[in-house]
Amino acid sequence: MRKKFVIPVVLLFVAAFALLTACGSKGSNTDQPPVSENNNTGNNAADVEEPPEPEGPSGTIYIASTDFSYESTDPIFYESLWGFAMYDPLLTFDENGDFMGMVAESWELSDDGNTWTFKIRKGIKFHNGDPLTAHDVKFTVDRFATEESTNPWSQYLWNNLNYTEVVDDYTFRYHTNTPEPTLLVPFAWTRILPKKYFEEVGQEEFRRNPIGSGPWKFVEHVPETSFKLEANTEHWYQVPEFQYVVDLQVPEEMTRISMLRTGEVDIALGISTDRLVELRDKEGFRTVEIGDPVIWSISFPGTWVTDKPTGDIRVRQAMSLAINRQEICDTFYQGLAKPGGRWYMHPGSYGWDPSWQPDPYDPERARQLLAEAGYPDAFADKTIIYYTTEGPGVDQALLLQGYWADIGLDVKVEIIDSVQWGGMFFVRNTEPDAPNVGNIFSWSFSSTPNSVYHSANMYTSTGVHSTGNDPVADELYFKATTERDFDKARQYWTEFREYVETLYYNVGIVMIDPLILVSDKLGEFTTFKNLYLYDALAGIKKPKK
Amino acid sequence: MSRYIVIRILQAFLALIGITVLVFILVRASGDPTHLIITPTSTPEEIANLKKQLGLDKSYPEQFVVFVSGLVRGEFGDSIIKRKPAAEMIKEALPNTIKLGLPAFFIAMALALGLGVLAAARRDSIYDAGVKLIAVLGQALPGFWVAIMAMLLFSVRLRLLPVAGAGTLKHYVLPVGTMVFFLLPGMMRLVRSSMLDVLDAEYIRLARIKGLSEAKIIWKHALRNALIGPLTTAGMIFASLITGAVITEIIFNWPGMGRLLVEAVTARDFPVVQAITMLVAAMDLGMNIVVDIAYAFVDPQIRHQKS
Repeated sequence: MRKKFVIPVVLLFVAAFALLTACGSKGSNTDQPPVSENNNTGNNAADVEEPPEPEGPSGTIYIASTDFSYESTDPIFYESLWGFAMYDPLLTFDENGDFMGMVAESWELSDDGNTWTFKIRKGIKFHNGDPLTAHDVKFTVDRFATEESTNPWSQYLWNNLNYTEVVDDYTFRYHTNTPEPTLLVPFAWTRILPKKYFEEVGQEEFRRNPIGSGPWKFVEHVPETSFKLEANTEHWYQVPEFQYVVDLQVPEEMTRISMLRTGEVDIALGISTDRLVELRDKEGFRTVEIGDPVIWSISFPGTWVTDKPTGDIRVRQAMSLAINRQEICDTFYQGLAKPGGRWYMHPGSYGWDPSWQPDPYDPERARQLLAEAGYPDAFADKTIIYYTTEGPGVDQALLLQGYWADIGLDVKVEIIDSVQWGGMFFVRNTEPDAPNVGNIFSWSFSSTPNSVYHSANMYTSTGVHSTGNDPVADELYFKATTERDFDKARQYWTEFREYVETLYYNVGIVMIDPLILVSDKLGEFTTFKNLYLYDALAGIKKPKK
Repeated sequence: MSRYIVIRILQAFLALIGITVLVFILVRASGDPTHLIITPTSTPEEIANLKKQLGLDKSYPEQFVVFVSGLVRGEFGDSIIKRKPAAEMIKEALPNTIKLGLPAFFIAMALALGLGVLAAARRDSIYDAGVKLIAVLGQALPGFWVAIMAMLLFSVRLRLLPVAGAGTLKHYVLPVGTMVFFLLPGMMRLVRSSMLDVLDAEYIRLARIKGLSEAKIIWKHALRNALIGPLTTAGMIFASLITGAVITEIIFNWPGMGRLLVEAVTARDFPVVQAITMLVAAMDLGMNIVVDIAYAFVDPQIRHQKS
């Protein structure tokens, strides 16, 4: 009787486990690396006879990204970073924040400042073999400089565009309404598309099967899952050593780390400081610096209209002096950050002066400044709110709150939704009773080679961050951004940034190292490390034997 | 009877209209998505252009008309973030959710049935204790923790299975296993308690007195009667699978509906949130109608009362 009862139970178990086991049988998918393909703790290389290295690109770089975000390969959308690998830009930035010719071999601005002439490099070919000419550049710029484009750089091209022209197959001209020498910045974000192919296949098909002239060719895009690229062996500047790049969207940090540990990916992005240090120091994973450091800074909107303490520059200065930046770098960031940094500027940005140093840690002086400002009695409304969103920003807020409490300054930390936060930080509102005015907003983001347009929003009296309202700053900004002599313009820019620093509209805290974790399967990163990972992919070498 | 069916369909239609209005209002009350898209180089002109491109420059009544007229044509609009039809995104994600949900559902149900019956039939035995332990663990352990531990053990430590992804059949084992772990306890306990109720019934005692084998009593007479409650719950679980298993999909990097919904809500991607919500609402209402009609067919009291 017992046996007869047990048999159906066993059968149900067998059925369930058979289903589960069947799921585990071997399958195939070219985009998924085999488990332990490049196992970090695997066999000793000396025990295994290495096959000869094939000629030309070989192997695959697997990347675990946090979020594909816009997933677009069309630059007129908010551009996803894959475009940086597939298309060549007109210009780019070198490691000093200076412009470097890419598709444009050279460029010049006319004496009246209204005509840009670009000499197009000969010998560049799109992935289908078509030559890249000035016609492609005009097509791209005309399309990029329209209101149809929501790429943040397009606005600067359409705002001031008079007309464009092809002078000959390798000369392109862009005519502006008013002189704007800083337009080189949006030109550096303009990636050239193939006119002929685009017009032949149409916009929708182009988006499905994009073609560029960059070092990587499009292979496959599985939405929300993976993006695959293949090496362009005829690239004019750099032929990749690896044959494929497969970018995988992996939203969970622990999953990205596990994939790196098992060798399922070679690069893990978006790893928090604690984990990164642990994986580097305890498990021997390599870190590579890619891109510009992340600048953490705080901003003070509406300082000239508020009755709150932040309206007094002495209070803002005291807040800066109260922060022990070195301690934050050593403890909170475990040595992966450096004190200082300015709004979208770091050593290496256009106009950075090596003599610039952050405010020292001087709590005594800070207390003295607060006393001079009459804090708290002199202020009818003493409330200062530090607005932050969920995530690492909360820890940062609590850190600063502690330093400020130490000098006797009371700051309330309020965690709000990111949409609400964005509505306060990115919309200019300088009414005295506006919720942003008199309070503090923190921003942590990668610095940039050239901060001209970012700075307009922070320091000028039309900027969206509601922080700027100083006629001298406006004047200096205008002078620095309209000067046609590049060396003078750089000097004026340094002067402008020196001046606005004294206003304490924005205070830099630290510069966080832009580190990514990589496996032993990858060798040295050789080019465009100052830009984005997708710019640098073509320069990744195989590891030395 | 037909009047009853027509009334139920009309009620469902009215409910759908109510849900449409509610969804439209709630997603917009959660904030302006352009605040998440704009960058520190954005000028007020660019922000205005962005709103125009996304149709967010229109008044709410105008946006509602656009939304409803799209619905009538079977369109949910384009995703604000991905710039492609929301319906297409659901079409891509839904099969993945079903691929994960179906095996997990059937495995969990098979195991729940077996273990629940075993625990009831061997009440207070070591089997019963084992089933209770599984139930307690399954209901008490946090989902994300179990998923990560399974990943660390089977993928990182033992190197038996891939960590994440959906490429090969091997990729199914951990996410399906995790989902089973969470679907199993509730159903298992329900089967056990239903079985215990039935096993105490007089007709079961009578069957024993008559000398029927224990296996026949349990599998033929008891289980059939004990399954009514668990089957109703199983139906509800099955319907809920459509929205995906959020934690499982995120941790094991499975591009299904759960992950899509979380991403869309986080980014205030109105069209995608609206499309998923409307889909789920329509399915739930449809299921309710089917169940109500089925009840009416099964139970003459309901049929006559309603008509």
